[in-house]
Amino acid sequence: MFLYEKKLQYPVKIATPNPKLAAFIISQYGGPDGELGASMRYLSQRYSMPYDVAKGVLTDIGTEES
Amino acid sequence: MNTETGSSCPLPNRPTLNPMPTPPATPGCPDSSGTMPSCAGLAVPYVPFQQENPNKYAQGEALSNGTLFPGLNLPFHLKVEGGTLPTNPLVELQALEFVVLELGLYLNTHSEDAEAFAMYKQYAAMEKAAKAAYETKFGPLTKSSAATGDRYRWLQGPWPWNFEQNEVK
Repeated sequence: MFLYEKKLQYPVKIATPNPKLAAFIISQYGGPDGELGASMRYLSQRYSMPYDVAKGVLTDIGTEES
Repeated sequence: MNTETGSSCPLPNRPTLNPMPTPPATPGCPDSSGTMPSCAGLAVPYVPFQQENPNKYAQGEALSNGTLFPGLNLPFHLKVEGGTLPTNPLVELQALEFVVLELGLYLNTHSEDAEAFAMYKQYAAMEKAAKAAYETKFGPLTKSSAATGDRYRWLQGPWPWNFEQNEVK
């Protein structure tokens, strides 16, 4: 599970809204080869990871991508 | 290079489950250059190890550059400086959180760097204080801090995707 923080990680100001570009970006996030899929892969790969350093890195990268 | 065999390295050993070796420190190596294991194979793509105690940006600069470490800042399009960010309480909090995040990632692979750990503790404390101050003024950022105060303020806008939150107030 994750804990939600009600703010962005980085300030965003959209000067020119562009729904077509937004569709591309959102598929990079949630699409078939998107960040969410990568996130779940990293978080699952942890379970067979023998090194503590890599357990920590996979946890943090998997968290970052979701 | 070993002049007798023409090779600088022995054949690689079979992989084992031993803990990962710590790379040898390279004295005088510039901050933007990492260290390599002493016997790296030929024609293999590599990721150099970041060195201990690397140079660090101030928090605002770190957030706008997308990295805490000048040595890891490899900008696209030869653009050397990060974009300019607005100055407001949210951006200040975001910058502090970014430093804590970056130091946490660095410490994963450099857990014996005492100086970085001291900085991690210092920035985590600053982030905690900044977050508390921000929440007092603008409302809760987490459900657990929504369980404070005189009433339930979690639903109060703007939500992060209502981007006027990010404009300078």
